[in-house]
Order: sequence, then C-alpha cells, then structure tokens
Amino acid sequence: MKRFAVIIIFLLIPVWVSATTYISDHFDAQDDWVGKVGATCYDPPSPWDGYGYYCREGFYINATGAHGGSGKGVTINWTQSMTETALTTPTSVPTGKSELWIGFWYKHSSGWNWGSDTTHKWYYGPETNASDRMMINYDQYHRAFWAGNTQFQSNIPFNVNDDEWHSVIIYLKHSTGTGNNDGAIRMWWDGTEATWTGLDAHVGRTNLQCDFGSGATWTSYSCIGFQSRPNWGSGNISYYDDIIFASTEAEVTEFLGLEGEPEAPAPPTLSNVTISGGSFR
Amino acid sequence: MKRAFLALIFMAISTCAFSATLEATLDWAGTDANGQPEASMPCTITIHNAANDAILSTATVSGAVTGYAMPSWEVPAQNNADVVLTLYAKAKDAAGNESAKSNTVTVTIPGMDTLAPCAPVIHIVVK
Repeated sequence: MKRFAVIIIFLLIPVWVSATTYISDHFDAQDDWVGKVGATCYDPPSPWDGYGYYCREGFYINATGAHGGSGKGVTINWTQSMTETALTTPTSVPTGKSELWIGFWYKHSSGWNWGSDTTHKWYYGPETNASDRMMINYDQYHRAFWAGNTQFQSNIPFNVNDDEWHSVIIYLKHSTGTGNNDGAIRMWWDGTEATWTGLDAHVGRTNLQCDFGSGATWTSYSCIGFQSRPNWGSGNISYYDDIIFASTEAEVTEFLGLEGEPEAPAPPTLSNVTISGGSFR
Repeated sequence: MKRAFLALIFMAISTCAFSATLEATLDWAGTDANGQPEASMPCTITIHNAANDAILSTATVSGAVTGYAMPSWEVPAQNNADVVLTLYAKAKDAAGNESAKSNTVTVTIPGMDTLAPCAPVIHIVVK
C-alpha cells in the first residue's frame, strides 16, 4: 500500500519543460533607422548582442515594416547598389544548445523576384566552399541554410512575393557529432510544414553543424542569419518583424501571435428565402 | 368609518399588427476558410439583417449541410409599406472564430394595406 501511494505521488509530479527565449524583438521599442547607413546601425538593439542588425542603404526600422498594423518592423528597400547582405547574425544565443526554434514574420512586395526565377521556393543548403552561416532565404543562389554539404529545397512553391505577411517557424537540431545522422531542420510556412527535395532529409540529418571550421558541433549561433536579396532594381521591398530565437515551439508561436488562432470557418451560402405569408395577431 | 366609494376605470386600446413569416435555406461546406475540415464543431449558423447586422435566425450544425432550413422568423410590417430586407449568413465555430459574411439575398415583403385597421376596444370597469 505504501509503495502504491509513493507511485501515485510520483505520477502527480509535473514534468517541467525548460523554456528559454534567447532573443526576441518586436522592434516596436527600437529607434527608427531612417537615414542611417553603415556602422552606425550596427549598434545592437536591445536585447541583441553581437552584430545586431546590419543597417545598410535601404534598411530601416520604422512603422512601415510593422506586422499587425502597429509598432515597428524592419523594412529593406532594395536598390541597385546593394550587395549581398543579411539581416542579422545574432550571437547572444547561448552556445552549445542542441535545439533551437526560430520564428519571424516576413512580407515581400508584390513582384519581388530574383531575375527569371519565379518558383520562389525556400531553400536550405550549403554555400559553395562552405560558409559558417546558416541562412534563411528563398532562392537557390542565396540559400536558406548552409548546413553540411547538401542543398535541399522546399517542394512547396511558397509564394513569397504576394505582398502579404507570412509566418515562418524553423526547428534546428544539431547532429550529436560528425557522421551522426540525428540532426533536424524543419520549417513551417504559415503553419504548413515544408517537405524537401534534395539529397538529404530534414530529419535524421547527418552532420547538421554550423561551425564547419571546428567540426563536430555548433559552437555559436552566430552562424544563423536571415538573408534576402531580390533581383536588383527598385520596387523590391522586404519586411521582417517579430523575430525570436527560443528553446521551445510554444514560445515561438506565442510570440508570433499564432497561439490559439485556429482558422475561421468558411461562410455559408444563403439561398432560397421565402415568405410564407402574414397573419393578424 | 366612512364608506369609501372607489371607482376605477381601466381603459385599454388593442392594436392589430401584421407580420410575415420568413424561411431561408442555406448550404455550409463544413470547412474552415482554407478549405480544411472545420476543427471546432459544432458551428453556429446565423442569418442577419444586413441593415443593422441583427441576428434573425440561429441554428447549430455539426457538419456540412445542404439546403438546410433555418428556423423561421417573423418580420413585422411597418406602416403597411413594402419591407425590403437584405440578408446574409455567418458561421461561428466552437472556438469563437467567425466566418466572413455570406452572399446576400434580398426579399421584399409586400405591404398589406388591403384591410381596414382593427377597431379600438375600450374596457371600462367600475367598482
């Protein structure tokens, strides 16, 4: 009887899941980046450390880029003179974390394109000669993730240039060591998980590492960045807002405002209204 | 103690009224806005007066319906004139998410000024 009671008590002890938000930013409290270019914009907005955001010509933090119609967000107004660039490579995520959830909202202006590439898929993959960054992007030339030696692309032709906000959630898990196929990269675009074509799987992934220089494990999340560059030319605008790096999916979905947001039902179709007559009363 | 004489006069005037009974049928696909099966059943279907969004009829459904007969409702005539009524329907799932408005349907309830009005009735009670 005593043993039974102990077992019951044990079962009633809740299982605590550690949840940590490493970096998050709604941008609403940031100073506007208007007319700032270059080094002056490397000042890391709190709570970001390290690089903060790259502020280059055409990069702004202002109300224009705000998701949800209020506050602020990041606006990138692409110009002919821009070179390949990235939004951020945060370094304040603790090193040695084996799993990471990333979320953000983005919007690309209508007609946003990379030359003749109109497929607009999301890509994960390595840069030639291996970069030490993992990046999120849409075209095969500036791939979403540099991770290992294979590139793979989403087989869902996500439309990224419809001038609408879209949510992206990414899950990353390190491989435990060189040659171990226990890494994972998963991505959800507006709640739909991407599947991938390519040479490797998005789960059970081998050698999912970031710091290729040191080999076996990620040693810093400075390897993560957002990179986008459309075909050069005026009119291509990108917006980012509500960026978060966290340890659990729940933190990300809550931060993005996705929690408890089931789809509304479809409207009915009304037909055949009849009048059955009147009556005195 | 003096006897009191109390007289109370009650007067009431009855009125007559006219109302039309309306019935409507509708279809609902049982899906969410993305075309996926609605996850939060049952759903409440309502018919509204487009002029003021007032709810005229309410029903609860647990899946797709076709030609569903909504509960009838009455519309009072006003000044014996035609009543033009524009209607739309909405669906709300169990989680509280509300659909967009449906198509609208307009009906005209003809005025019924073909009968003389009811005569008033006076009731007098004396005690």
